[in-house]
Amino acid sequence: MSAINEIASLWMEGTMRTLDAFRTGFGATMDDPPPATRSRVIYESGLVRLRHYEARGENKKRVPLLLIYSLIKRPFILDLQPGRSVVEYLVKQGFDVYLIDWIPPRSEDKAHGFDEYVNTDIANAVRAIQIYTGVQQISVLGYCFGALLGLMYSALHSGNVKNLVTLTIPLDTSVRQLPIEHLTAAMTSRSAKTIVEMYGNAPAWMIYSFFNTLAPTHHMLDKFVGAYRSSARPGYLDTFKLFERWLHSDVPMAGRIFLETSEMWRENSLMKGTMKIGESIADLTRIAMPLLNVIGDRDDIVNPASSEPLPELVSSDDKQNLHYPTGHMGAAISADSLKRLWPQISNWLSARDD
Amino acid sequence: METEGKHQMADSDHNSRSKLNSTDSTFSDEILKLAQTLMPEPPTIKVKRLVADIADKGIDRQLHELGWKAYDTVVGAANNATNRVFTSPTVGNVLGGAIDLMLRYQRLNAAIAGAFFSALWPAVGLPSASEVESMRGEVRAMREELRDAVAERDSKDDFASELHIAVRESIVNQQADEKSALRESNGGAHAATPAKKSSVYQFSVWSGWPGADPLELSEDVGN
Repeated sequence: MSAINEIASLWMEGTMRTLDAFRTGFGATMDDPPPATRSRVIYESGLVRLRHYEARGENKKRVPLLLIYSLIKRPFILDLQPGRSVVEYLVKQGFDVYLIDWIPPRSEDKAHGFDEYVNTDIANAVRAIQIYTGVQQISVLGYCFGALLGLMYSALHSGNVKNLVTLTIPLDTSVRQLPIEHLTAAMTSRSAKTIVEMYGNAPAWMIYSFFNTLAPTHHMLDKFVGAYRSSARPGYLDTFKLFERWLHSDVPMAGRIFLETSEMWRENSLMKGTMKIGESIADLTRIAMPLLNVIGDRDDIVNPASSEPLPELVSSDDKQNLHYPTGHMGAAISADSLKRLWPQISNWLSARDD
Repeated sequence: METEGKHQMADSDHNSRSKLNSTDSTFSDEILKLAQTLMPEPPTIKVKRLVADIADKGIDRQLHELGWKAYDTVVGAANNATNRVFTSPTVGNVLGGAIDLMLRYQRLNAAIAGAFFSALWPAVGLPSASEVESMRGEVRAMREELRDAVAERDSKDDFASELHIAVRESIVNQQADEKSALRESNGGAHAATPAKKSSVYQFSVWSGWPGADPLELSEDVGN
């Protein structure tokens, strides 16, 4: 088959996935691919479904590890395929991994805000882990928006968190360098309100379109050409297709948290220490547990400059930024990150497992 | 390829010459053969030979690489142009206004269409959007009820529901502790519990293991 034919065929498959994503955005459900690691749902309430991945090997760790993923896509990117799975890696290192598999909000969940997500859903999940394991303090690892949620939980319920790892956290929203930062800033509070008034929740197709608008050449052409150019590498096309499936796994964002996020973005309130969640201020100085802040130096979704200030804002003695030359998703799925970055994270947690 | 071509041409030259030298051929044949021998190569053969030369010298690989480099340059330029557009404050302002305007227009459109069709649907005997939505809600509720019933029937080890109850009890105990601590701090006087708008008090019924068991994979796969 000629190059043109192969690229055209990859492009056609991509277009079908896009159409599927729009179908999902309008209410249909898209199934996750089969997971690489076996899990068991141990708790479900509100919009939280808690999955447990049992530790393997002899060197089992004492402190359970809770993974909190972003709200706008499915979390199967963390367990994409055998050999390319963060969950699988951590489980093999002896961690009992718990993953919050967020339940996509329905129209009746539009009033779900930061308070409900942090003080109810995450709080209940942590409580379930405490009861299940008998361990009082757990380690929390949050990714992107999930890192924000984990940070807020750690600030409001610091007694329950032994270690905190934040990956590619969009903290300082006053940074204006990347296209995404400018485009987010262009969204007025009136626009955000209109979206919620019209749709209840921020529709998945809208979130999908927002991210695709940022890199039209990549999404319309270059990623397919790239797939063709790398197709000779063993297993590359399988990973590409799974990754594409994840790219199209958009989930609506509950109306209230969408409004609150857009306000937080404009005011930079979490960074300034003025953000109110429920009845309390999310005061980052209350965070005194060990903190590892992982930054992808080539991240074009979350600016490294936006993540960098975090250690300065918490009162932990044991805190550090860990820079790694990877992109936003590369931190989760690149072979290099799984070989070099995740061992560093695992070692950091292991050293604080007593 | 080139060598093969040269051999063929040499053979053809040799045959023509040997035929030219033969005594049994007529004069007109000889003239024709001579013309064929002297005639320049057809253009297609010339092109084929040129391509073969290029392949032999690795020029096609260079052209291939050059093509991809050109592609990368064009894509890079397109990405830079897009980035410049999105990082321009003017474009940001225009875009912000456009999003707002588009949303308001969409909303107005939806309201007008809603008003028009809400009168039209009953007239032609079709259900309205709110009726369809309420039916969807009912179906959803029935589905959840069914899930609960199946979970109750199938779940021999009802560990998950036990954990669910334990979490609920733990929350209730904590709330009781908080209340009594608050009462004590206020000298025993009745104090209002701090209002919580969070849904900490809401519990959903355990709905069983969602979906089928995940695929189990052997441990030696992967890393």
